[in-house]
Amino acid sequence: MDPTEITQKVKSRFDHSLARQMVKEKYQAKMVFAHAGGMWRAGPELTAMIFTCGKIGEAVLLDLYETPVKINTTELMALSQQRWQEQMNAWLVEYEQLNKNR
Amino acid sequence: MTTGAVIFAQGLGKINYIAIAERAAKQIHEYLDIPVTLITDHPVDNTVFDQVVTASAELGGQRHWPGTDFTTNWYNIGRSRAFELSPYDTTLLLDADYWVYSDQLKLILESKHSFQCHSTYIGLPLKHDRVCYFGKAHVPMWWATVVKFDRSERSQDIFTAWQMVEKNYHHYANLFGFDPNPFRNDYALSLALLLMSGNQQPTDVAIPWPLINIEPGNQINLDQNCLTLTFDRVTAGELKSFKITAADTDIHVMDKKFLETQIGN
Repeated sequence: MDPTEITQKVKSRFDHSLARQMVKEKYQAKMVFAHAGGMWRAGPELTAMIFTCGKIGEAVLLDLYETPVKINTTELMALSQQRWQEQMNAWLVEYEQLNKNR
Repeated sequence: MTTGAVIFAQGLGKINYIAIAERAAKQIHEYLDIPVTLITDHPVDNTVFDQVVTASAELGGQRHWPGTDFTTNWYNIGRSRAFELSPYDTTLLLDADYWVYSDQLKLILESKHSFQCHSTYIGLPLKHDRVCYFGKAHVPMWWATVVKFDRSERSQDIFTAWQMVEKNYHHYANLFGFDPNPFRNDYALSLALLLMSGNQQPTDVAIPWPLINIEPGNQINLDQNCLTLTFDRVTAGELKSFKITAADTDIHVMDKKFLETQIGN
């Protein structure tokens, strides 16, 4: 690496805004999961959608591709919440790590 | 049921796509744990690829890649034959310059959808358009960089339409008002999907996250699975240098000069 390149690297500021956006994109992608032949994105929206079914057991919901899929509300809720919590925890760890960058 | 990745590297010009594909194959083995087949018209002597399929290349035109000081022949016609050339039941068709650094694509391989590709993108560091449009008709572009397909009739129909657009590319260029040179697989695939969906945008083929493109002209460093991108941006009327890092993220590296520096690493 030539000296000007090294100088430029040292002088470079960390772009927190863009880095946060990239991390958000990454974890939004990691929230996606497959279940019962449908694709779902874990999160409050899916949780709310399951709640609106108002019953425990079988229900038909629209997946990410707007395809009606027959699901078991208990199973889908458990998978969604597990993935949501796992990925949110990982997101927090990475977010805090990013904040230390200068 | 077999699952694997297919990479095309044909008609070597000034860019050694086979060497770039070798690096891509190593990444695929490490993160996705699936076999990789190379489709090429050149003799290949290495142990990285699980299979090598020989297929002739066709010139798609000349292209100047930003970041390089040359124009090179671009042998990109024939990717539409991936359906017939792939040895797998479920195939992940990847560009040689798409480097996998996560297991995210496993989700696509496990999904029941027969055909999937990216409809949205982020161009790092500065482009956040999400959707690319082409031609006077402003057709939304679907990316041929990452394509998952199976042996279904629907996949076959899309590839048949892709080949038809490829054969009649100038006609479609006139019809939709875009430059026919050089040939672009992204355009041919986009038009094939449009035709297969009754002149509407398909609703069931989009990979549910954006393609991450690393635009040329920036300093890129790769350390293990962590990318550091250094770039210039005008802030308050002053040109300043910034950087970001991204770990465990699959990237489409558009800087061919950088790719060549990474060969063998």
